[in-house]
This record gives sequence, structure tokens and C-alpha cells, in this order.
Amino acid sequence: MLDTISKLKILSDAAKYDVSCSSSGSSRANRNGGLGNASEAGICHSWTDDGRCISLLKILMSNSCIYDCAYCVSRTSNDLPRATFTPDEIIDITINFYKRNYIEGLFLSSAVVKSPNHTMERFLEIVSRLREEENFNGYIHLKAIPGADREILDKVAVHVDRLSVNIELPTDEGLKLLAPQKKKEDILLPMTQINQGITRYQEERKVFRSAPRYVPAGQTTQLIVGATRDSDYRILNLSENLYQGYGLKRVYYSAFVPVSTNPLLPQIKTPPLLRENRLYQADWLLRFYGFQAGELLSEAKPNFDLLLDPKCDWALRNMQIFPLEINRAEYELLLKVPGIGVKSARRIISSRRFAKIGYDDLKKMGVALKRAKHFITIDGRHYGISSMDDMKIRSAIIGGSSLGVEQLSIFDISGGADSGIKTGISV
Amino acid sequence: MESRLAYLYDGSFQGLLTAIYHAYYDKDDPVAILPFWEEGSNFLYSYKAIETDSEKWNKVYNAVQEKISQSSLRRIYNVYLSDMEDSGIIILGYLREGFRIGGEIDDYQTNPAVRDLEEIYHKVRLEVHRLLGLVRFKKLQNGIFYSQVEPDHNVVSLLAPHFVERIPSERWIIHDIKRGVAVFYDTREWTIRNIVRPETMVLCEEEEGYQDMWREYYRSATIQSRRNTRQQRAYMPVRYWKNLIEKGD
Repeated sequence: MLDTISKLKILSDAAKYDVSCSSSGSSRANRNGGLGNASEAGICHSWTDDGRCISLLKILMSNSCIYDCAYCVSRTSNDLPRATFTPDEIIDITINFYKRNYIEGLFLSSAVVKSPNHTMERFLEIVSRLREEENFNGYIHLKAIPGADREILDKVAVHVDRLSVNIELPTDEGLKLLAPQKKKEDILLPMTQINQGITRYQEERKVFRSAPRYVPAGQTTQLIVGATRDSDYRILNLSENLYQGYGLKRVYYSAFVPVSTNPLLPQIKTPPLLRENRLYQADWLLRFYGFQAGELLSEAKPNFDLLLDPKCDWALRNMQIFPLEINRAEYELLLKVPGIGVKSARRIISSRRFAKIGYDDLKKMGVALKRAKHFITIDGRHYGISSMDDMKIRSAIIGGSSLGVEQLSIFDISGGADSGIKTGISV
Repeated sequence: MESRLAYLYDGSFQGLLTAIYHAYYDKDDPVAILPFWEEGSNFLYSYKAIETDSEKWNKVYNAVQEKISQSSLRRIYNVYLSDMEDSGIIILGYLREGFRIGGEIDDYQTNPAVRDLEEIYHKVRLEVHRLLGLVRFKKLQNGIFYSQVEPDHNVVSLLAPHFVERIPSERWIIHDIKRGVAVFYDTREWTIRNIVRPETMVLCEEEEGYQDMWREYYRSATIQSRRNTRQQRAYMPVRYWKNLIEKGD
């Protein structure tokens, strides 16, 4: 029998490939002098050596799985130590870590133990005891296990802040190749059910303020990038559909980390981090900048330029709308300028009501003029290179910078509890 | 060359507001407003001591609320807590503009006085936000949860309300060992007091066990093939590490 700390080592090691660590989107007040609350904006408690934040205690309940998915570290055929937490152990660690301010709450996932229903029933025991016996009001993110009965899903949903179902492989072909025991329908069904539950809850809330909460921080999913041949275009299209059709709060992208030597998997030395970063940037453009997947990529241009961020890439293909005058352009258009983010666009709008904006003002508002200057005029004056030719601007922006380093920091402003891996841009 | 006028106040927020009152009504034009312990720090200054006066500071306090806004009051209080040398004079500059412009002052992003204040305000809020995550409590034998911090700014009073909300039924202390002040919470209310470091602190029996688990968790959560310590340091500056269980010794 393993002691708790050995289990923790095994079961946190296996859980770390799930990139979401967000603790945001839910504000849960402390009730009856119980323990904890949930902060709307989310709080990071530490950062590991890979630069990712720790917000939640992210563990598996068990890594003894009945499935054998090629990309997964916990697959049946993998020879590694197995462990399973008891509900008491999970509850005790959660409460004690929380009181010491190590964490915002619990992110509980699991291998499929015995059956989906069995696994979900154990989850239900843990979360209902945390909420009801321990009076714990901190954040709980739970993984929904595809294939479990809806009845259990609905029971779990009233206790947690967030539910997620990981799609992992973005296409049917990928699923057939690497996870033949899983079916697309099984994965999408709980996502539909959660979405229906959230919609129903929102309707009920309009009538009864006291209607029981149902996943108040919404549902999310994760896609693995680089385990299959799927293009950025297919991945981004899927994300767009998930945001629109399933009301997802977030799609996380996880650069494939080789955890097995299965011949079906690509042989790579390092995870495709830059590609992952481009997808996060594009995802941000979908959610906050009014872009559509079809504008950013197409069948003819299915992958992002690794040298340029997706917005710059888009702008250079749409030079006819530039340059824009900073003192006049509408908010929606300002957002399309490379180097101008949501925050700086809002600052521009609010401060130009009072005074004309000059070059130095823009700099102080946080606009990245190195890129933006080519696409704007400031009070009639253009500060970019003396040409609106896209190739020339492209090389001016890329300059001498070699692939990666500098480009990586573009959206990498404020990471944090809502950042998954490296997304940043606070909104 | 004429020496330049610097105000000295008693270090309290009330004292600072009194100094602002004098800057207005004495028609002085101070170049610095400093707590008294900074006296003599600049050879070119001539110093004038300001005596805290409740009628005077109340007048300024109410005027900020009424003629500018509640949020401006909150901002200047945060900037006062920054402990930065130029915070006093920056608050004066901001209030001068605030009284001229009114409640919309914070929309004037291009105004230098607004921007100077905003810059310090942002630093203080950033540190508060960071520390909400980085405070680490240790459970003592007497049941109290104790935490020590060494923040750049004087923020423990800004941290307290968050933890009152969060851990209302435990007794806890957040101790700024750099400034010798601490927030005490006794399950009913919190107070702030000057303290020196308690000589012995006996940890409760199970404390080490949870600390070991936390270190173990911290280690195993790292994905080695994604190592990126530059990013780690950007989010969690090294100066905070010594009070972190997972990083300190």
C-alpha cells in the first residue's frame, strides 16, 4: 500500500499534461463561515520551472486505466507505477493545501477506472463531500468522463465550477489511429449535455434566483497539437465550432509531448511550442478581436507563419484597409491593427475624446509601435517604412530576429490563472 | 540657488492629506512630500514639518470624494502605501489636476500627472495580486496560521480583506518582516499592529508533512521538456522566492 505522498507524486505527474489551470470565471462567496471562495479573476499561486502557473491542485484520482490510447501516459500498455487516491486522501490534501494558501482549489481528473460510471460516482462522492461536509467553497474543476450516465453528470455539475471533456485529437482519422477504443460521439455527447445543462440553468436563474448552480465557470476542452498531421486550419475551425455550437469557455491547446515510442506517433525531440503559441494567439483573435477562422487561414493556406503572429500575418494579406488613422478609426478596426490589443484600443478610444493622441502617448498606452507603426497614421503622419508594400513591411517586422525567441513574447504579457500555458493578454 | 521646499509629515495617510491641505492653502509649491524619517536625505532641500490635523485632512478627504471620485481616493491611498519616495508629490500633482478636471480625471490617460499616479498604482496592485497567491501559511502548534512576507510596498493591509473572506474561521497572521507590521485576524476582525519577530514558533505536528507534499507536488508538476525559467521569473520574481515553501530553504 502506497503512502499519500508517493501517490501524490505518481498522480500529479500523470495529470500535468492537462494544460488548463484556470481558476477564473466563477465568483463563489464564502457561505456560513465555511472555507474559501472563488475569485472571479482567478489567482496563480506559483510557477513551475516550465513557466506554467499553479493555481489548482491538479491530480488524477487514479491512473489505472481500462483504455489504451497511444498518446496518453496512463494507457494500459504503459509499464509504470499505478496508484489510486481514496476520497479521504483527496479531501484532506485539498483542504490543507487550501488553508495554507498553496492553491485556489481542485482540478480532478482520472483514468477510467473499471467503467465511466464507476469513475464518475467516485468523483461525485468527493465533490459532494467537499461541498457539503467540509463546507468548501473554493474552485473545483472536474473532468467529465465520456460514456457515463447523464444522471450522474447532472449531479456532479451542481457542485463544481467548471467541467471539461478533452477532445484531444481534433479529427476522426486521428481518433481512429491513436485511440481506437474511443468514439467521437461519446466525447461530444457529454459536451452537448453540459451545454444544455448550463442553458437550462441560465433560464431557471431568470425565474428563481436560488436555482441550483450548474457549472458556473462553464466548460472547456483540450486539443493536442502535433500528435497527428492535422493542420492549424482544421484545428482552428474546430475551435470556432466549439465556441459557437457548444458555448465553450475555453479551448486549450497542448503541444504534443512524446510520452511513448509508439510507431503511430510522430518522432519529435521537443514539443511544438511555437505552433501551440500561434494557435493560442489565433484563439484569442477569435474570442476577443472579432476574427473568424476562415479569415485567418484557408485550405490554400492551412498553417500559420511561424515567423509572424497571426494578426500580423492577416494584416499583411489585407493591406487595402491600412493605414488607419489612430485619432479616428473605430474600435473594431483598431483591434485589427498588429500591435494594438484590447486594452490599448480601449485606452485610445477613451483618451482621444479629450485630446489628440501623439506618438509618445501611444507608446505609453502599451501599443507595440514596432509593429503598429507600419499600419497606422498618427494625426496624419506615418511612422513606418516609406512603403505600403506587404513584402517590405514583412521583412521590416521580422528584421534580423531569428525564429522564435522574440516572437514568442508577443501575447505573453500577463499569463496567469487564466492562461493555460502561455496565452496572457489580460482582458 | 534657492533651496527647494520639502514637506515632512508623520508618515500616516492623514498626515499626507494634511500636507496636501497646506500645499493648497499656504500657496507653497513643495517639490517633495516626505515622511519625517526622510529628513536630510537631500542636501538641496529645505524642510518644513507639517503637523497632522484632523480638521484639515478631513477636508481634503471629503473634497476628493465629492469633487473627484471614490475611486480616486482609493487610488491615492494605494499610492501612499507604495512607500515610494516620490509618491507624496505625485499624489499632490494628481489631486491638483483632479480638482481642476473632476470625476473624469482617470480617463485623461495622456495627462502626465495621471500617468505618474497610474504607474505607481499599477505597481502596488500588481504586488497585491501576486501576493494573494504567494502568501504561504504555516500552521503553528497553537492553531494559528502564520505567514511572513517581504513586499516592495506596504501592502499587508490591502491583503487582509481577501483572506478574511477566504479563511474566516481560522486565526491567522500575515507578517511583513521588512517593515515590522502584521495583520492579525482572530476569527471576528482584523487589526494591524507593529510587531517584532516572535522568538520561537513551534509548528504543529502535521505541518511538515503538508509542506513535503506541497514540494513534491511542485516538483512533479513541471514538464521538463518545456523548461522555461525566464517565463517563470517574469511571473514570479526571484525576490519573492525566499518566503515560498516550494522555493525557499
